[in-house]
Amino acid sequence: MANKKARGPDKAKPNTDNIVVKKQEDAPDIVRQPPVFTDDSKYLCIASGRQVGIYSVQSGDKVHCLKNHSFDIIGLAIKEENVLYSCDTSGEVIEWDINDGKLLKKTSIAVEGLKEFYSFHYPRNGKFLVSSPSINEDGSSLFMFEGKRIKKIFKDVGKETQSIAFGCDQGDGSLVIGALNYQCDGVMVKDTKNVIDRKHMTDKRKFTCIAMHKEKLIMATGDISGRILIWHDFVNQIRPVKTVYHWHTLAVSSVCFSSEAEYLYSGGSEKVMVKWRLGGKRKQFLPRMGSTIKFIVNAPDNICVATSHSDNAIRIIDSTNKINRAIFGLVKHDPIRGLEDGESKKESVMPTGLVFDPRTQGIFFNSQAGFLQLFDPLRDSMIFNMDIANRNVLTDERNTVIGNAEVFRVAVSPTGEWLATLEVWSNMSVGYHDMNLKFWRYDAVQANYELNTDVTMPHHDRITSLAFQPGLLGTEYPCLVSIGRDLKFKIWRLVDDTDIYRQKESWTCDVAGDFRKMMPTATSFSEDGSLLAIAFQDTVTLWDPMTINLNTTLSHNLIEESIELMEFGRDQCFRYLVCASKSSLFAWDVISKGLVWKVGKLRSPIRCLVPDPKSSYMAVVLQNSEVFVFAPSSSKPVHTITNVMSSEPIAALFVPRPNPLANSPEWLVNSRLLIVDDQQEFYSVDDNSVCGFDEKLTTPISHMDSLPWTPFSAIKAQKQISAAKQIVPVIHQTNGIKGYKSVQSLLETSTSTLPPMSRICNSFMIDLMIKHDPKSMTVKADSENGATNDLPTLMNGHIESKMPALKEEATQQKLLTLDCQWITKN
Amino acid sequence: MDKNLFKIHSTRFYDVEPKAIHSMAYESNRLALSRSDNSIEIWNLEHSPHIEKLIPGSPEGSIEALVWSKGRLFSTGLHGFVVEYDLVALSPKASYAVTSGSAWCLAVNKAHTHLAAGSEEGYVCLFEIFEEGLMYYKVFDKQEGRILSLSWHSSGDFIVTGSSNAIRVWNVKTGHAVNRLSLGRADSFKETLVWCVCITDDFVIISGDSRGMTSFWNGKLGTLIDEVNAHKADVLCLCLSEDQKTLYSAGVDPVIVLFARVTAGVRNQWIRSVQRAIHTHDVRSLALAGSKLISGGVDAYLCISSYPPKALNRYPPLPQAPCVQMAQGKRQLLLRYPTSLDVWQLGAAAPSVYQLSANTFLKLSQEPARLLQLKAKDDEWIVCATVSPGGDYVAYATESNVYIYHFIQSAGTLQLKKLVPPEDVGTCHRMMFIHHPTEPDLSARLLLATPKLTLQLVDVGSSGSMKVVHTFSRESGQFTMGDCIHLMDCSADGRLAAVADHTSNIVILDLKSYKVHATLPRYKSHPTALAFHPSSHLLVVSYADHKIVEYDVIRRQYTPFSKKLSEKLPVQWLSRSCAVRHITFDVRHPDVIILHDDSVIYTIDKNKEFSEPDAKITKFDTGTEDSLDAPPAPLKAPSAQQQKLNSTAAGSGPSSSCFGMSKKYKHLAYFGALDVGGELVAVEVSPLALEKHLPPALYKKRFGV
Repeated sequence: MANKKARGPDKAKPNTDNIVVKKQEDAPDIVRQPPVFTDDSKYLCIASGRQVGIYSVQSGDKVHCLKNHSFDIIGLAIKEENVLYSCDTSGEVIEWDINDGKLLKKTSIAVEGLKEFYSFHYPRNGKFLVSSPSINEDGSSLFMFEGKRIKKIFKDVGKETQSIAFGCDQGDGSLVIGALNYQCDGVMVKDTKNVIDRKHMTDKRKFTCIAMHKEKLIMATGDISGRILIWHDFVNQIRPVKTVYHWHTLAVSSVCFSSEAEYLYSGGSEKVMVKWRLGGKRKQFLPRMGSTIKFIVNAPDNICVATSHSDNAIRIIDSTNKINRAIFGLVKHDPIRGLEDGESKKESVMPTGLVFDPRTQGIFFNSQAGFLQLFDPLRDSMIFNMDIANRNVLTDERNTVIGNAEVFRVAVSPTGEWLATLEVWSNMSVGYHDMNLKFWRYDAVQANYELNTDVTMPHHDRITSLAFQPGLLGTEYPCLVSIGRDLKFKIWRLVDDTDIYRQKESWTCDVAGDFRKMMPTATSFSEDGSLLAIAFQDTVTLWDPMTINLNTTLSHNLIEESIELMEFGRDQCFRYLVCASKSSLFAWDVISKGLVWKVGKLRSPIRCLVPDPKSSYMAVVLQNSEVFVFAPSSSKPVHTITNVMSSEPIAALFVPRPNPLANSPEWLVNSRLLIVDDQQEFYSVDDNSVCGFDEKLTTPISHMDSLPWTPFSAIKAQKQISAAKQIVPVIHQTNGIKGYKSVQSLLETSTSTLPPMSRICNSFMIDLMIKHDPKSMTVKADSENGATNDLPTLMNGHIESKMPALKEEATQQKLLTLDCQWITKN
Repeated sequence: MDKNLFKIHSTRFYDVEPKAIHSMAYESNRLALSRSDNSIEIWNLEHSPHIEKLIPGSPEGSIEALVWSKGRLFSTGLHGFVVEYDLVALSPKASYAVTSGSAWCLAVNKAHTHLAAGSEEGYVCLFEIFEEGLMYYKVFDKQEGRILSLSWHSSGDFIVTGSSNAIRVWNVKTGHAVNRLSLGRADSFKETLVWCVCITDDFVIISGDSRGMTSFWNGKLGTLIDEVNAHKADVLCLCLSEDQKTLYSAGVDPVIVLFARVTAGVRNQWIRSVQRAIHTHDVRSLALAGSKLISGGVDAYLCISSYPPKALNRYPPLPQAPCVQMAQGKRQLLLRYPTSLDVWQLGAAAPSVYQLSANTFLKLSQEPARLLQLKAKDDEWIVCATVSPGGDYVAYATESNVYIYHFIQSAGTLQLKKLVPPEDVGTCHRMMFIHHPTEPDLSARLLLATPKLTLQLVDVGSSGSMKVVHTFSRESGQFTMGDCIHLMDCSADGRLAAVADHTSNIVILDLKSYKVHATLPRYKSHPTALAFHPSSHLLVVSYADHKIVEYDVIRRQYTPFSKKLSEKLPVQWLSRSCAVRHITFDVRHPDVIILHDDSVIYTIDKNKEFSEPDAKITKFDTGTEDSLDAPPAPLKAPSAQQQKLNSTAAGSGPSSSCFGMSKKYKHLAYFGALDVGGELVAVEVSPLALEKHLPPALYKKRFGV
């Protein structure tokens, strides 16, 4: 706080034109397109947004990041050894050198009338296969580019990448292209060499994916009933021979042949990868893969398979059917299905919203069902992913949504020591409802959260809001308030729960209260934690958090709608309580107990109301993605941004920045605004001058990687990594004691052989003393001062707390040396 | 009672025991099928499949394999003989001993010159086929272990045999084994039995074994090409198509798997393709009739399936009609079982207090009861049986004799008196009591269809010894039949009788003057049911291709209605896959013909207009889902097996179309009208009752069960 005030906003006029909305690019969707293995199966190329990441298959580390596209990438393909094609939606094709990540060539395939593309394939004979939107809204047309010539192959093809396959080059240069109709009721097959066109139909089941073998004339299709059909001789025969492989109950989302067509891999929403032995009945399973499988890609050398999952992870599975490596992006939360009516999109996509963690400066939000992730917005990386529900993941049945336990609310205590989570497992159509409020304590030694208290059914109905008490009081005596749809609010406190076995603390419900049988809808603590506001529909009640005495009730004629969001102002605006109902925004002054201002009839419902923890400003995000930044003292917005994004905003948060920004509007000096949309993409509202973290990849490609594959190169490890932990020798305190040696020698020699005390006394005492060097002392002190100057860069709690300790140690040493000087002089 | 309301006796006391199908052979629209009671059914698949002939089985007989050779039927079994059958007399014609005894398999070569039988002791025994019979030709080298399966190469020079742990290729000329292909084992202590084997023209040997493997071998080199584990348990049968491009395999795991030959480059590959799950129990035998696959097994259903397009017809193991006969006078039913007869008294409904409405159950005042169970002597097979319309005579025929009983029922006492048939009555295929309502002294005459294609008329009722009144034969008055007689009916006045044989000869005989009264024009298809109209001289005949004709016996011509009908038969009727089992009439509706097949009852109302042929046939089953398994809730069904049900039937439907149908029953053995009018009797065999007799099927783990 002190820092902030000292640094203050710049006096220069803030340049509002510079404020831009940027899409966070560094934690993107890595599973939108299937990954591609390089020819030597050493690297995996992954398209993510506008860039391509080259990952090492063995280590799972990112080796290169190829950035040059200005649109989203729609397809990757290996041109030849170490050359990668990437194509974006505008039809720009870039050739990259995989080894050094250099851009080789940039061409565009866009021609008149063909400007937008859905998917890109490269069958390795100088021809591109590109699907482009057709006049028909639902489908696309597939074109083949051969040099300058463009040939239309199919029309009414499905948009998805999985609906196009090619292969079956039986050594004569022929190319067979197969595609699924956009209505998915038929497979279209074309032999480009012998010019054979066929359309194969089966029954009513719709196809979901198609795959062809590279060389053999064999094709696989999956459908919505989970059935996989293997088609033989489908080019020449009108009624080709089909084999049925049916294990999946849900739709098959991807099928993939092994290199020799011995095996077939398939996956879907069951979260199980099935490895079929073609011809036989045997199959292998890899269950519990975490999330729905979107794509399966086989490495050319058959040693591993990569699967893309809907939780934004790519898992690499080795030949023994084990997950070897996993490449994670930011985990995406599968929207919760089967929610009761009337619950907004936010509850489905990201029920927790964005919750700031003061300890790590990260953000908590939903990851997989029942999981919570902590995301570092500075480095755009995930800090950890935590299993809150700790239950088996259930998959759906064919016509029933089963659902899983989901984390609905998260609150973090002001110091970050406590984490409260609410998980709900509910499916009223089946008739079960389960709710748990869990309190987790951060264990600094283990660097992990430890479950402290698990409260089953904390309220009789869904909890709508959780808040920890901030301020000094809240730090000392942690306190949490929860409000639920059972018309109650409850105060939870940490109490001593020591028994004869151990000393412990746990959370318990201290007070449960209600107010005129009205539904509590929102809650907020004042910045110092001295006042608790709970909104009961249109009425705001103010309570003393310690005694739970009703202080005041605030209501007004003008306010009729139920309050949905409520926040106390910060800093100078501490007295204002900003409330948001569906279409209006207003502020109460809690000291004068009057309505300060009201803005009604907003264009769109309010989605989020977020206070900036580092300034007095607040931001309101509307459903139509308008953002207003204002100070609670006045209804006039400081800044207005319209059309932040084309999609619908879900949650927002002010994220503090490590260094204050010079020459920017006041509200952007210390923090920036992050907004998440319903696609779970992050957008940041920030000053234009701020450039993102330039990530330097530290792992260069070793020379070994480009070695040709020989049995000897296989023996030689790529990297010498020892799994064994390097043992750091334990340094006992005794070794560091001055004069330890002389004491030791004194004790080891027998007393009879010792020289007279007066003779050894001097040298003994000198050994025990620290040499006094006044010059080095001052230098040390300087460096310490310098460190304190840099303190803001290391806002991390640990370091901050360590610094004074270090100082203390130094002064003690100084004292000691001064104290001992009289001995040496004697 | 309303004229359109019928009382229906829905009876379920006919307890047919399903007999597993063991082996099948198919040749030119004839399917020979052996069951576990060693009987052989010969099905005609030309139009709608139906049982044409039945060769009775015996407990000591055994049929392990059946084979056709140019219209001649051979079988072999554990008795160690190759048996040739007389298909007119429906009995074994000759038998030839197989070297060393019990034989498991039989196959004929493509040229139909030689027959090979594989024996328990490991011999392959060859017979030469002559017009007059078989001649022992040679025997191959003895091998270790039994020969379970056998197949000829199309050239006729090689035979492939399957035995335990090995498949051998034999040279027919030398009689030595050319090649021995050994199979792996699933368990080291368990022998692998090759249950079935076949060979293609290009010398690919295909075998199915007890491991559940279908293996493809190169017969020339003796190497395994491919081994597919398509079944969970033993593969019992294989069937190779005529063009040798598709192969079906089936076994204990009751799915039928289709393998298809795919030419990938130069190499032929057999690919497992679609599978059919159409049986509930082990599939024992497969046969191909063109594109149709015929399959049969332990569940006793005969299935005829084809793909594509997907089509399946299942034929329940109902005995060949007439298996149920009605004694109108006493309201009794005679049920024929393979070795016994039952006579049941139908139940009677209590007079209802309320106004009767359709689809209600009536309370029974008298439960149906079994009056008589007559077991054949020495468990002989009952070929046919009949009861006199008055119910006082019961007669049946075994393979060797005719038995006639006087069944005296008077005031609570039942008495059975055996009558001695005349000396010159041997056995017969069909029998029928001729009913003379006007002349009581002639009321009990029995018409017998003999295996010699003659008809004998026996006077039963005359005091003293019975005698043959007349014999219709080729010699006595132009009575010429081409095949065995399978249908008989007599007119209501007992003056005329109609008989039909398998070659579509339908002859009307005058039983007074003992002359042939008329001969119907011969039609291309088989007659499957015929009936005289109860009040007029009209004969209705239904053929296997679903043509129905009405013949005016007096005028000796088809009626105008018949001609009109044959032009306007509905498509839905023509596409039925079952043949008509029985035709009946109700006295209150003389213009309505009631027909039924295995599951559906049809009515044809002559008074109504014909609708377009492609129009749908009107269904009677309106209102409640009146399957008997789910009686309407408020009306409690009587506990007895017989229930009386009021239903709108017989052309009383709301539509004006002349065709009507009811799918109320699952497997209908008999549906007939009582001559008092307004009462109908349905004898149903429910699928559940059939399943009750079956052994448990192969256990399969199912998710969630």
